[in-house]
Amino acid sequence: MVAEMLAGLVSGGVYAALAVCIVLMYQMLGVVNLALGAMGALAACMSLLCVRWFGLAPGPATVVAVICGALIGVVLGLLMVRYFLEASVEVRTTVTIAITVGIIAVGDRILNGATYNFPNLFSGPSVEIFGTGVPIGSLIEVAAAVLLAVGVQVFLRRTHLGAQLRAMSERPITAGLLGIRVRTLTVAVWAFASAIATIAVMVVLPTSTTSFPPLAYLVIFALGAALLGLMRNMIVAAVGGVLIGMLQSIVQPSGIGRYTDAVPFVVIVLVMVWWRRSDVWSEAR
Amino acid sequence: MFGLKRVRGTPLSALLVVAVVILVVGFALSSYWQYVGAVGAAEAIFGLSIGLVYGQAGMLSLCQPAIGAIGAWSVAYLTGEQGWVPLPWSLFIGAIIGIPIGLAAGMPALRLRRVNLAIVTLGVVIVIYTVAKAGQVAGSQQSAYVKSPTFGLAGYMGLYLLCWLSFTLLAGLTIVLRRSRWGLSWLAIARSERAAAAMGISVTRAKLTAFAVAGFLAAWAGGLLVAGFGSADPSNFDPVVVLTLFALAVMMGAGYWEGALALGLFSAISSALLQQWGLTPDLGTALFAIGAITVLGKPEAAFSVMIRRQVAKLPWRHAAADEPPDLRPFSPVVPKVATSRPADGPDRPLALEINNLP
Repeated sequence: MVAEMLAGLVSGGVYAALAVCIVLMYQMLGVVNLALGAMGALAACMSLLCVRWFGLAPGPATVVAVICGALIGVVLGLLMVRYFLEASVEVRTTVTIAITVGIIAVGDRILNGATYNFPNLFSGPSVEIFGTGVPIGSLIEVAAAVLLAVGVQVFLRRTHLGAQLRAMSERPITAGLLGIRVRTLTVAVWAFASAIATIAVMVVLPTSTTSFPPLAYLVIFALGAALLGLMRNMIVAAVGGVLIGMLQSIVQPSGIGRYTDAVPFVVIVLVMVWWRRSDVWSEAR
Repeated sequence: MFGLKRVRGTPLSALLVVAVVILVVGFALSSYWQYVGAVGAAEAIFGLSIGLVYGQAGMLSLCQPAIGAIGAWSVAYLTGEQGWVPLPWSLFIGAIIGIPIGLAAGMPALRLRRVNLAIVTLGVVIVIYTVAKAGQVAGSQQSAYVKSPTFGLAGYMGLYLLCWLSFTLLAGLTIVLRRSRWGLSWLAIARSERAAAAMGISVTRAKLTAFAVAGFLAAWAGGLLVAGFGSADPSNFDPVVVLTLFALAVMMGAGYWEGALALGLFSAISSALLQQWGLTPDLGTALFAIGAITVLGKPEAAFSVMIRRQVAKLPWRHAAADEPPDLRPFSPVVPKVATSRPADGPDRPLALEINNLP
């Protein structure tokens, strides 16, 4: 049981990092970015192409991928700023659905049918925990995800730029009138989230299939984790992501192993409905 | 039984005219295009299902096409695997089974709203896809083969007729329901749950009836897909396919039947053409995504809205326009927040003036 739980740290760390970005984007920009996984996956594909076409080493290829991820975030951020700055959360979220579909179509063209080999950046020595060997890389990954959550929250609360971001999230037009560069900050948040998502996807790239959609679907479990944090608390979202990864890992070898992907959502739905049991009416209307 | 109100004849008449044209055209098509058209009709019914829950009731549910798996498995099991029930009737049974599944998928909507509901229903998509891939549910194995119905007609004309008659029947049902107490309660909760409740409308009942009817529609469409493809292929309920249908529904404005019709025709025909031209269907998917983003940025660009606006401009339609001017195929209403100074009269004193901002 403990061994399975610890084995789930890798995917759990990925979900945690993505969940933090989802909460950040929802809180700051009012968008539930369903395309985050696809954006990260598309940028991660660039590293595979760099390795194959230009013979780059994994390290530089990873840097190129992260830069590509940030650029993808900039492009999509500009799209959102240009056309959907004053749209409702639902409309922006639906836009990200369309973006997801589009990116998956492009990513499928890149990955489908081809075999790529990418070394595991997190392979290396292990430490023994409860009698089970755990790669240090996966521990670093989980710690990085939790640190990301804490760091972003501290950044938002303690820095001038964080205060500007919070002002923007509360009243974007008022913040703009007060001289805050709303458009620039919006694009910057998109770029940051996309770069983090790229790193997260790079972690699982060596162990995943050569099919693009499963990489894009990583965001779905991260969304579940973000829901556990009620789309507000990044630390709870990060912990939720780790727990989902562990839950999947526990279920995998059991009798319901075929339904590994389904189990977290059954739990999440039950938890969410229980937490929201008193929300008989919508808050806004 | 549903407290039906009088239905204006125009939408139903238009549907009937379009249906007759499509059916007649079917006899002139080759067997291949009859097949393509049949698949398009099934996808159009998925569009009706999405349009009902999101377009009419304003609930951001992404799982409607995935519920089609229930109808697919029912038809594959009852008609293909066991041979107990012939095709048109197994479709109906599958759709009936789709109602409780639709209700179950919609239960979270009683407490979750907006993006929370979107995420949870996306989870439902994953759950159904996982179950479909596992192949443990009766009818979900691809070995359960269903032969396309012919009804004594050549080629795929039998399947074509079945699919388009199904679309006509179900689109007619949505038109009738739109004017019924159920349909009006869906529109009411999309505008304001509290106001709807204040008018005596049961919000719970409105939401559940929307999901139940949408589940019925989606399961019927899923069954038709099996009739066309021969088996319940899990890839039909892949999250990408589900999200693509959702994006297409937004692009076409499937809140109205003509948007759903356009969804089916556009999706099936574009896929077939891309295949014939040796291009990958991914290209079509990418185009759908661009189209959906365009419509979301400019809602009046949705196909169904453009059609209705053009029809409303016809001289003989002015007196009998049956739709309000605010056409909203996919635009859940959010409360207007004052973002600028309200329009004042010229003599009203200025409340606050700020100068020399950085």
